[in-house]
Amino acid sequence: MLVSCGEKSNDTKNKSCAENDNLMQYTSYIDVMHYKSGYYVNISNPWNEKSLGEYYLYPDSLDLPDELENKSVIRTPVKNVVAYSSTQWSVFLEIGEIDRVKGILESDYTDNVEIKRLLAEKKIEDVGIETSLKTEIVINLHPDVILYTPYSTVPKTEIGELTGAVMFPFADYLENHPLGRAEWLKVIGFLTCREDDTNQWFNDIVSRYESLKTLCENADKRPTVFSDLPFEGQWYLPGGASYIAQIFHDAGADYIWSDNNSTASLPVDAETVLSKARNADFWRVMNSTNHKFSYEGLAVENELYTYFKAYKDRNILVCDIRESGYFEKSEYEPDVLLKDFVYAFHPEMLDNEDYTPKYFYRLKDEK
Amino acid sequence: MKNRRITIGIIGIIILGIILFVLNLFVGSVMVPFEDIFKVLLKVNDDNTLSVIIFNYRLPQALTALLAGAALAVAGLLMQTLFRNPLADPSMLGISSGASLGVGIVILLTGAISGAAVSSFGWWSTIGVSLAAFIGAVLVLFVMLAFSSRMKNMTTLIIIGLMIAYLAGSITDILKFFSLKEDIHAFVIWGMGSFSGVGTSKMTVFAISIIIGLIATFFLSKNLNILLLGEMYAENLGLNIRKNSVVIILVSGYLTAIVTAYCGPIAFVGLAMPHIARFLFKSSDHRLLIPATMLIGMDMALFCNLIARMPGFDGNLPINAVTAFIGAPVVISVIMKSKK
Repeated sequence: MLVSCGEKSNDTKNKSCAENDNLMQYTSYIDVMHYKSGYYVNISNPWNEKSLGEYYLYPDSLDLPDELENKSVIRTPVKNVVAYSSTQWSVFLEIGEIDRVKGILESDYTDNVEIKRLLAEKKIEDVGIETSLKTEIVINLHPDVILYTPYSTVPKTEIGELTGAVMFPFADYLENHPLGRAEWLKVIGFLTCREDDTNQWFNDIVSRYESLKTLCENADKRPTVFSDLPFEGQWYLPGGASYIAQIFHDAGADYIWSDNNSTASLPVDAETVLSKARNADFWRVMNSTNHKFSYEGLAVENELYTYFKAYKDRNILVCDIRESGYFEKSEYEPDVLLKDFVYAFHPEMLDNEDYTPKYFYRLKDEK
Repeated sequence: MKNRRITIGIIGIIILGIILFVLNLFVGSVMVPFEDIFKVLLKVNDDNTLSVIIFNYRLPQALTALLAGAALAVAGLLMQTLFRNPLADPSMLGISSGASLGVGIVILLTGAISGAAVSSFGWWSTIGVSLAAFIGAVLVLFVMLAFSSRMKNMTTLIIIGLMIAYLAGSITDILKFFSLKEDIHAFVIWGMGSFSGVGTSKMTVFAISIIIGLIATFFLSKNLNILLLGEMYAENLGLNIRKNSVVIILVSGYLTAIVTAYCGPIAFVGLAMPHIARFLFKSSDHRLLIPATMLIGMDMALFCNLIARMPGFDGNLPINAVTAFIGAPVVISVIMKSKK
């Protein structure tokens, strides 16, 4: 009955259902529907047809309907959460529900001041990294839900069995539409009974994103853009159907590899990139080091860079990953990300010329 | 008769090398139409993308393959003669493992690359990774030199080298276990080897460093020949065994360290090429074997680089996969033929 509502098509987002409308508009891998006084959640498996999991979120204050006895049920609001990724705990933090998060992974890699404080005060425990989870600490936290990151390998259910927690796959990073990725913030709202706030938050993102996108649809000229730096002679380019390719498109630019329909990254030989992208107008680059990039530095690294038009024209767009908190924050600010690119591609579209980009800025010439 | 055979052999290998070198320049992911080849050659022009691809991308890569192939092959020959073991290769000294540990510490432990896709640390990899590999390799080299100057028994030295390799390997494994998957991926990719890391900007330093090492090997040929007679005999001839082995390890280790620093740990070339040289020339005279091994190493590296960048294929195959894939059958057939 309900499951039939989960039918989806990836390209059209109009998932209509007679009785229960899907509460998720832009996502490909999660459907949420009303179920009595709670919610039914279906998370699909990106790698095959099977479902990654079906969950019922049901208010703790109400008696559980009999038919849900043997289902995966999460009583809301959740009390003790272990979160695998910063994209999960950052929503709790934003809506003021961080005290529900008891354990996080990879805490060494965050620069978030608030989280660092909570870790120091032992209000949140570091529970290791994915490949080596501190199992005993996780058990000791008595989690009711563990938000984990699903990979193509079979997810470990061991930790769920040991703790009795519901393992909830957070497939946000697999979404290939910027708004689809951002919409996962609503899931945290459902889990904490704060859906009114998270729905509002998401709707604001959508309206800002869509209005920028509409602006760029009317652009006279669409600049071309390509992406990333090579490693060991190989360029790992974002696929033509990837998240970033969508943002390029919505920002009124043509991605050189837009014909490609892969969502994953493509390994491409440096000479192929040179021959195809040499005359591209813009070049988007991620900087994961703590050093600032410079045109001189890039030329020293690889002389080939200097032959690209984007290099010559000083049109390299850089994101300093750590400094900007890209992986923690940008997922829920696709509108800001989009605006950064619009500002670079079509400054004339934004009337306020003194806009300061948050993630991607045009690398300035030192000279 | 024999001299003629040698001359023909050497000339054949050189001609093959030239053909492979030219093919390396004109074959790759991007097709160069035949009629454009001469246009490009006649007029080197930065505005022409084909010209940039050939002279600024493929040429340094072919030169790197050429030099790295020669260096690793001759380093392997030195090891095989010194240890009197046909399975010896440059990695036996633990130098590649030392380099891997150095790179492992930088990539995995510092987390400087954490949280980012592999694609995003090209800038940093230039200086950091090469330097780390070099420091790791040289540290192990010094440890081995210290042991070799105290020890006369070559078998003991092989065992120490292997133990150091295991030690470095286990530390690397521990680091990997506690690392993020992005960092591990980066580390794995480095470990697959590549001839494209040198590029035009670092070519001068790389080439000079390798050529110095290659020249040094020519001065070792007489002592290597004496070593073949056996240690007792060599000592009677006035050869200082310990001093001699220190010098051989230093030269071989130096070449391996430089190549590993710039290209990653490239397997197999060092092990296999000396066998091919010995088989082709039916000789154990190092005055011949040293240049012959170098030339064969060059040919093999150029050939592997060509295979790795086959036309019609957008990506690169990892060099390490290709060297073993091409090299292993060659060695097997050589051994089968010579044992008949």
